[in-house]
Amino acid sequence: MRDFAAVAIIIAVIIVAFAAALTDGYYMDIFILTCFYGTLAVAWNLMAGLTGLMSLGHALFVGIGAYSVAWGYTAHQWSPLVTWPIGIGLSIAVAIVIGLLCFRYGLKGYFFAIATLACGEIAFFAVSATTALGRSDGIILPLAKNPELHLQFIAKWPYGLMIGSFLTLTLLAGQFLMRSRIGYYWRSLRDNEDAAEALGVNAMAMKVLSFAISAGVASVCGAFYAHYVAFVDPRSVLGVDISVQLLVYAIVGGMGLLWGPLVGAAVLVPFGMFLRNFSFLQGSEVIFYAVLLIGLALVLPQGVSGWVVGRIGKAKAAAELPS
Amino acid sequence: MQAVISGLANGSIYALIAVGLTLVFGIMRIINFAHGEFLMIAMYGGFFAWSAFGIDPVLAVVIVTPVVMLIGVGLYKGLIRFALNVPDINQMAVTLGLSMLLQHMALMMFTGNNRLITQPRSTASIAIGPAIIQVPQLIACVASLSLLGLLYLVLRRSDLGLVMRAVSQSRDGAALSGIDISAVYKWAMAIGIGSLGVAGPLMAAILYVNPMVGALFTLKAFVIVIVGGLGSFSGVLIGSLLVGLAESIAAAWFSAAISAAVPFAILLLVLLIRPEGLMSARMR
Amino acid sequence: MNQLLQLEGVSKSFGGLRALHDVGFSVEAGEIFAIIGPNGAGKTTLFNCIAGAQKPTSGSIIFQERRIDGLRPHEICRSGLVRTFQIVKPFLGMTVADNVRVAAYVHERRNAGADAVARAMLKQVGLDDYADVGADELNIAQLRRLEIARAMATRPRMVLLDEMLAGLTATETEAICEELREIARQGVALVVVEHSIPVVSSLCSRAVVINFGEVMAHGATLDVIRDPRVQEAYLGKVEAVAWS
Repeated sequence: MRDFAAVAIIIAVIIVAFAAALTDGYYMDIFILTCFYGTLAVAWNLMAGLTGLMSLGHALFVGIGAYSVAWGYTAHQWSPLVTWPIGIGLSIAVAIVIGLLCFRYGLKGYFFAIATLACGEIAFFAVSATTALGRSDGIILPLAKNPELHLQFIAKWPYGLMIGSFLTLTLLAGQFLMRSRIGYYWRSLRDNEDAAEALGVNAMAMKVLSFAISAGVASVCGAFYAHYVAFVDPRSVLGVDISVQLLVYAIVGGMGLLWGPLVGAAVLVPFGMFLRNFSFLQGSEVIFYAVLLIGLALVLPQGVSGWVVGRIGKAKAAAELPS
Repeated sequence: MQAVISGLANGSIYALIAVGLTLVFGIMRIINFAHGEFLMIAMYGGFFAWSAFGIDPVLAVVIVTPVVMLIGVGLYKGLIRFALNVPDINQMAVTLGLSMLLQHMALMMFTGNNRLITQPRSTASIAIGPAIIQVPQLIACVASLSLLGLLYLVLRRSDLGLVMRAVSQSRDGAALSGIDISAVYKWAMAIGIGSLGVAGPLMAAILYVNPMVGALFTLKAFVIVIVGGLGSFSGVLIGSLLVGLAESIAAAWFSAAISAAVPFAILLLVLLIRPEGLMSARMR
Repeated sequence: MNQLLQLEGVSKSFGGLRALHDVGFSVEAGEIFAIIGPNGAGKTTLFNCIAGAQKPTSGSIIFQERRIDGLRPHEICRSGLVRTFQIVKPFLGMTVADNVRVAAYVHERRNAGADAVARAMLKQVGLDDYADVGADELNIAQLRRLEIARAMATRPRMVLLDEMLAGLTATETEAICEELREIARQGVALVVVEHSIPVVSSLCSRAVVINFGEVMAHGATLDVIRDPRVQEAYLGKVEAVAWS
């Protein structure tokens, strides 16, 4: 129950932040991007932090989601009701194939990370060479005749509402999974795969499930991004940068808890946008990230969220001791 | 035929870059995502030695290599030492962070401009049968193969090599037999990064230097190291030539973008069919 | 036939190296059975073959009248045969109760039910005071108990215990032996790999001796231990006198 309390607090914060962002388009921008990266980071952590599978190829699934929308809309005027399921289905299918292959050969740790990285890069270069997908120039999504049906809004708040709700949903579903058999199985695989298998855990099925869910959520984020920005190109939705960014949020926020990386995104995304206001700091933003990343990875391996929760736990234990 | 020759030439240069990465991984079990950034530094070293002092890149190797070796030792002492005891994912974060840091510091110091060493011999070329090879490339090839040979001898014949192989097989076992692990790691980093000191100046005469040049080579070096088998010397050579060849053939038949994806496709194939690499690692 | 587990002609080779050759024996329901043999005789390989971590090169392993050789470890566990590890493998990022809960999900899909099973098992092995601490805070004897609790939470018909007592003090050993006897009284068969002959002779009714990957002797524990070939191979002549 305590875990749900933490999630409830986070959801309350999301709602308050959304309400505050209604006052100003710039704030709404920050809110939307934070939720976008936050959702991706939570999805990524479902695999990395809770199942022990480091992926460096999540950009692939963001890309599949984004390109499904962009291509389906520009080539066939398909509505999101068609393109979203295509994107999600395709992502899940790709994740299952990659997962079955990688896990069958026992790829773990670095090797799995680099295999997923390679998959992402192949997609990046393949899309950059495909004329139907706009090559490296990308695809612009023009205004539709009935924009609302294609999730095109002039105001920003509907986008904020969409991604905020999706983040909330992801958190709730994720927390529910974590407290269920599946979540326990995932964590047991993370901690010791041999022992888990000996105790009746179907490692292959559970790892593929984790990968598929994570990929599905990531592709929804990608689909959302295509609607919101109305432009997709390989760099913005298929680049390694996205995958690396997720790692940064996870290290900063902490991976032991489902919502740890969300904390990282919630701190770093707004801060990065804030730094971008100062032109004389060009590039220093990344240097700051890099130093923070190195420092936290070495000094605070459990991340900010893990550290705070640990502190609270200790304080509670100390308070309970006298009684 | 031209594609084959230039593929092999590229491949042997890749080998020079990948050998350092495999050495460091084989011994320290850490994957250095910033490997390419040190190549970038060495390339700038070669470039500035030429542009400021008019030093020939071949000569610059002698100056840049010791400097880069010292940087390797400094990196171990100052950073990597602390990263050895944290989980894999944190190690990855540390070296990725280092890579970002070096890239953007280079961007601030050297700007994003492309630079290249241009000498009279830069455009000269030699015909090999129906194909031609450019002189700077030929120099780099020769240097690469001789350095690989030298490193191989060091690892196989010298005491240091013996100790390094012992550590790569079992860190604890080696420590129990009284080997100073920290000193071995220091040397591994010195040689692993130092080999880039040979590659850098020579490559600055072939390729444009810019702050992002390293990232590309880091990824390729990963591919080669895994394709060849981690920690395997002959594997590095075979992996490099394979990747170089496949790339240039794909570029000749299809397009540049397809050719860029080719190394990763090879990597996936190898990971799936033979995860231990083409040459099963001797050094492990 | 009342055989719970039956091995026939089980062989395993790694490349050219023959780790097991034509191993056959059987274990009855509810008994405590020992696998003994010198270091490197192939005991752990045998264990891994039975538990599904490795696949035998040839031969058959039948558990509850069903062939299990070649099945995945989780399938074997679900069929009622569970193992522990020589080097304990706790889930260090989870609490003690959650460690056991993972195993309890084999038969109990409901969360509350799995948690209840986990706590009951911890009580049985005397770890109930530690239920909510992290598994990383337990000492080696407690970790061994945790292994037993996890194994029992899968409701097995048979448990394979790989050197469960190595490195424990005499008191700890005695306490765990008593628990093992209690488990056997509940009708669960135990197969132990164990080095200490006194422990084996006090705990186990029957035993098989493996040497160089082959069965050297098979039968009642005391007979097996007194077998001169076993004494020579395993115990060495001097010690043999002391134990006979």
